[in-house]
Amino acid sequence: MTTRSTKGDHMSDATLLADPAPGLQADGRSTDDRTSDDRTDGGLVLRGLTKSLGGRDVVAGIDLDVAKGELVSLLGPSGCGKTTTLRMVAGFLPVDGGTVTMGGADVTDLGPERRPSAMVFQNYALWPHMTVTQNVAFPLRTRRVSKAETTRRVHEALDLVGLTHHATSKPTAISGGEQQRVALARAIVQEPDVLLLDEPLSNLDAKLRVSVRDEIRRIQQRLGITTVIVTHDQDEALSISDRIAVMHDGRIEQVASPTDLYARPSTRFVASFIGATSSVTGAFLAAVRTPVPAGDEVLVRPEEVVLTDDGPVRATVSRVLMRGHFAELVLRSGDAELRAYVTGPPPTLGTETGVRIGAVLVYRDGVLTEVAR
Amino acid sequence: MIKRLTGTALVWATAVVLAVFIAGPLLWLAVRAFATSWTYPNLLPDGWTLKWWGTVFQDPSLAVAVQNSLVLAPLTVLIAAVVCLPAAWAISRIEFPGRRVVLVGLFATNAFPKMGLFVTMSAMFTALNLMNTVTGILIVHVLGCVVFMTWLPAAAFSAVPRSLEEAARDAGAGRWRTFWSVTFPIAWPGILVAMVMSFLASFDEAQGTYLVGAPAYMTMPTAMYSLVLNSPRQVSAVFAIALSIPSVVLMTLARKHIMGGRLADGFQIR
Repeated sequence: MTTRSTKGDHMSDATLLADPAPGLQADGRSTDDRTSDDRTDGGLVLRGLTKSLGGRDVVAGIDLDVAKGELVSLLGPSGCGKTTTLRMVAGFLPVDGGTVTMGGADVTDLGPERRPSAMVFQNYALWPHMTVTQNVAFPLRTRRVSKAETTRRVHEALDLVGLTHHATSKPTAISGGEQQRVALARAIVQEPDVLLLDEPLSNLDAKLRVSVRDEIRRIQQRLGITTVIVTHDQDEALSISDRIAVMHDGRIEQVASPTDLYARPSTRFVASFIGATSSVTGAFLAAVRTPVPAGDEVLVRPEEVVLTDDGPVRATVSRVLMRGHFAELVLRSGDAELRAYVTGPPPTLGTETGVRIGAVLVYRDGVLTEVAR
Repeated sequence: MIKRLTGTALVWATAVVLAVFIAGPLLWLAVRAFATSWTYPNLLPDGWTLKWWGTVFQDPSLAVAVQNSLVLAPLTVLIAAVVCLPAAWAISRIEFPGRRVVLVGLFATNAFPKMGLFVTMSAMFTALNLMNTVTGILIVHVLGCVVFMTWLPAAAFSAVPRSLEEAARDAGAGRWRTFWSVTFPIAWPGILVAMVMSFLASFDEAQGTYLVGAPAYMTMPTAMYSLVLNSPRQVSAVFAIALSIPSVVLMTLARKHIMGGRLADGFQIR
């Protein structure tokens, strides 16, 4: 942890936001610039990880540092290589190139059974012929932990996930959310250096997803386990992570804290993948206060579009979508369209209004050049 | 309403037809085993007796045949399991060249008339001094159940999700431990089905056994062949019932085990 606080201190002047987590910062430096002694902090380090499957580079050179006790999400659309990356970290898939280091030890050539990591599978992968207790006890049995200690640790783990009352149930007899918690208990009972979760919430319904998500975060923070979560769900990643690594086409596009990632998406892809954005075009460009070089692309978050009568651009409301506590509007001015969020009662269709635009993201060749206010 | 009545009538008709075709011959067999004599066109036997049972169970050569069958069948299952289960695992888990050829080839052995196969085999066995030996009979029996013992367990191994094995590896189990703790127990119901079928196949095998083993080694089915030819019908009826007892017992035991949740758990059927 000392590494991170030092890092935070000397970079704080360059950081726009209060979050001390390292990542792609305002000066464009990425975590990859860390010095070699950062690797000894006991977390997870990936260097130049590559994998081709079927002649395609599924993972094309990944560098990632996860500090001890940190939770990092690998976020990206399906086929971006995030699951392949996780499987290489867990040891199920041999790497084509690069190294995996856990707790300072190179584990690249070790099988999954010899790595200090534990995985929670997308489909839970509980053994149907064993009870919940036997499932959770199995990792301790393979490591020859004494009977008394096994009993104690299994009970602790089940207690932590709130499932002691299902200790003797078969996995098929409990609900999906409970199965997921058993899978989590089976992982944490091993006291792993690194906890890996593959789309842990994708098989749960929306309501359960939030509660299991919060539970995963609570347990992770309480035990201080270095954790990597693979997900395609940005809400999940934004709400649970210390930092998020956004993946695209086998590469990491950006690693940053959720707030940083949202405020300063370093590439066009990240901007469109995280949160909503709309392109500022045509007449709306006049509402941007800072001059933008011609040819650059200007994106704006809908909440930065303000409806005010003294706004510099006039527009009409051409669509209203009720989204619960806020409404999404589509504004039209000439040929150009722009999205805006408003709270409170939304204006009726066809209302004419003034528009002002707050912070915009300026991209040249898909790369962020400026956050203009 | 009419639709429902027609449906019910159909179900009943099917049940009656099935009963006549399945239970009818069995009933005939059971009655015949206790009949002094039973001749056409009498609906019932002319008298009742237990003497045929005495004939069968007091015949020392039949006792030997029963004993032979009860030794050969389990031995066959054991050998077939040792030979075929690793092959089944390999077919299920390893993509080796010629994998499909092996699978189809195993099946093709059953496509030819058995008798032709046995005649060829007996020629080879004579040259190898395997005629009238236990080894010879065992080879015939094991060959008879290679298909069950490979195809069914291979399907059972394939039905074990990879992620369950990966989870075991992740939990610190090596390949061997993973197989015995996860793969095998989950595939077990499928393997059990294969073992029961192999047992029954071995128990009922007559042609090859007769050709290779007789007269030195008689089993229950080969003994029955001689009985059917040389004794009153009632004796063969008694023997047929005796022959079916182990099968019925085995099927009943296996049914409880197979349908009792283990299979359902393993294959996610519920």
